[in-house]
Amino acid sequence: MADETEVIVVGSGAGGGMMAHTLTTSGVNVLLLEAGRRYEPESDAAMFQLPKEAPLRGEGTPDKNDGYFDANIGGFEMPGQPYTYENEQFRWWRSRQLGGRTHHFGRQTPRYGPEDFKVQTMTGREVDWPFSYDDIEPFYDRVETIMGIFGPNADEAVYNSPLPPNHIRQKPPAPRASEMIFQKALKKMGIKTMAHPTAILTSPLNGRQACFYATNCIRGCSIGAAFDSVTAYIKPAEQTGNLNIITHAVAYEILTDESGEKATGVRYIDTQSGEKKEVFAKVVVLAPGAMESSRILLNSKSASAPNGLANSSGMVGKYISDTLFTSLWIHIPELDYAPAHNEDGVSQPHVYAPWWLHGDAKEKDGADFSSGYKIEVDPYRGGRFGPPSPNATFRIMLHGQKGLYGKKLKDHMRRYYGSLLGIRTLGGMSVNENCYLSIDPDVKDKWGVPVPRFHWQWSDEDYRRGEHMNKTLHELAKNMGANVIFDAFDKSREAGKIMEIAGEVNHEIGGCRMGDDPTTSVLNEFSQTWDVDNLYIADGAPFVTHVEKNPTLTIMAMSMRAADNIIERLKGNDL
Amino acid sequence: MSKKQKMTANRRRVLKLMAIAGTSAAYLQNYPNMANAQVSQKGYGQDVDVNNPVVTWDKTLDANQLKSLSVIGDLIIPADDKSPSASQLNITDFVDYFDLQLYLMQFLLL
Repeated sequence: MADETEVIVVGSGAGGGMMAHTLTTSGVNVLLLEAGRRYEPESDAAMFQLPKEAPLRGEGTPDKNDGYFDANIGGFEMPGQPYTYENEQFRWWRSRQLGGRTHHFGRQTPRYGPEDFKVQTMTGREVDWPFSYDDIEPFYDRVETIMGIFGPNADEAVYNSPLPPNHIRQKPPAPRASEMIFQKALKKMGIKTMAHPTAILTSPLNGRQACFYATNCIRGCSIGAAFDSVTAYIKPAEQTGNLNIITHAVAYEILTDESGEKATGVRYIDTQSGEKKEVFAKVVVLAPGAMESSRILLNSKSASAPNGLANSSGMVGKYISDTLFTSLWIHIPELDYAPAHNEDGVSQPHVYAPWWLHGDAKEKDGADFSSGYKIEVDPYRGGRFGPPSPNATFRIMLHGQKGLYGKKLKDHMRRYYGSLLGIRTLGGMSVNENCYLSIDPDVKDKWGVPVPRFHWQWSDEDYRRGEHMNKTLHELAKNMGANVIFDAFDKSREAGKIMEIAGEVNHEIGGCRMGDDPTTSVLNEFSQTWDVDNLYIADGAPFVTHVEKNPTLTIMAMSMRAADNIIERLKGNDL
Repeated sequence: MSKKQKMTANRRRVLKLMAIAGTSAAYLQNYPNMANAQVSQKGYGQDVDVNNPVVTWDKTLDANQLKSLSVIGDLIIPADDKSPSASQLNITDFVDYFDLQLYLMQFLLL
């Protein structure tokens, strides 16, 4: 191994893991800083534990938001590491473990489409990305090849929802019974359905096993079927001999030379000793999670960067976004008392409907918002998909029921177990200037580092999109022959708004967006900061628009593109 | 909040829980000490050992309360030819670990 660290990567999740993998396999010496501990999916993932083995039957608590056996170490609140918000509430999901949030990750990996990078050109709203789909396509191919992905036949692709080529994709699992009813109803509505591209193996790959369709991916995957950053990126990176990892290292400041135009290293807190330490390298890559990247830059103040590093545009922390989400709990009488059938599978939807309204059809429909939404059956809710916590299903089975006990109760449960189902839409968000984070002037974390303060405001366009999503779900329920049991939207409407709490979909991105113009963006198209030549960002912070496609695959494709740029520049002695 | 107020709040939540579970709240009024949970010590934290789960707080019910709970449980979930009763599954154990000062269960919020 070379003695000198060439690149420091902060964070080991989707973006940081990908960065470390691409750099080390090309012979670059990398130091990876991870805020949490080492996490070994083989031994740490609770794939087979039963609810009865856990305190409170594994039910979610403030300590473990998604249940005792959830693979995530962290959650919406972490003791001693607060954040604040003004205006509307924002919730910030975090992880403290090697591999970051990829263990808890839903593994849905749709590609952004050509229009998604050119929203301004297409709609006159928001702004364009500094690159096109053609520029990023080869990186999507390469990332998907390493991750392993199942998806539909590439020929099924609809407009603006591109699919991995057939030589990359593995075959998807067959639709479940409830999903066949879902498909039939959508067909009646003229909406096409297909398998959802998902980073779960259905055939073995690189020593990783195929999924056996029985456990919930958010518990982590000890057989390597569900993608995570440790299994697919960090372990192969370690095998190159080019990777050093420091765990329990919370980065909080970027060090620069006098000019402020060159990063020299990173300051971090060793959480085990509480000491503040420094590490140095030729290149610094931030990938601690989009919101954390903005926080670190804003906290890296100096004489040459009084408003925070790489912030001459004043754009650091601006234009953050999260996925717009609505769901319904429905009851399908057709499935009442149904005997056990094909309820197994991956803990993700086997089919979905990509956004279908474009051009004239969109205009005719009156859908007045930029990006659309996708529709799915929610496998976490309802059906019999089980070892995953069935608690939500049981709760909803009793929703609105009174005086139910004894034989009547048992009969009720047998009738509804398997005939209740969640259907959901995940929508884009119209990125707007009223969503940003700044540094709270008063509140500090337990190490004395100032924390982010979030400011959030959904736009009128988001409200229109949300209403459209809700309306479509009700129409779908009707076409499925289903009764609506619970509409989460109703609850928000009662509270005087129709949106759920921002951040809760865990798709928060933006804050250091890329662009063509250094005065209106933080990064260039290779995720390199305009102001600091050797500083890159490889998490969700560079995003320009927020469409209905889950962001993780695009985070990784951009991280790989940035890594290639770093490798090229290192070879050319440009760094 | 005084200790008494806390206990009252606790009791209300347990009553609500039992109501959700499908029983009659009026029946439970006869058992005013059902939820005498003490103020909790400590949760299990965010980094748990999934292979050796431990409950980090004390159980809350005494022998009489457990007995009452067992009877109520079997009224709500009796055994039949297909599945066992609440007491056969030791559901009292589950309720006994409710420390509502520590963890306000999500299903009380639905």
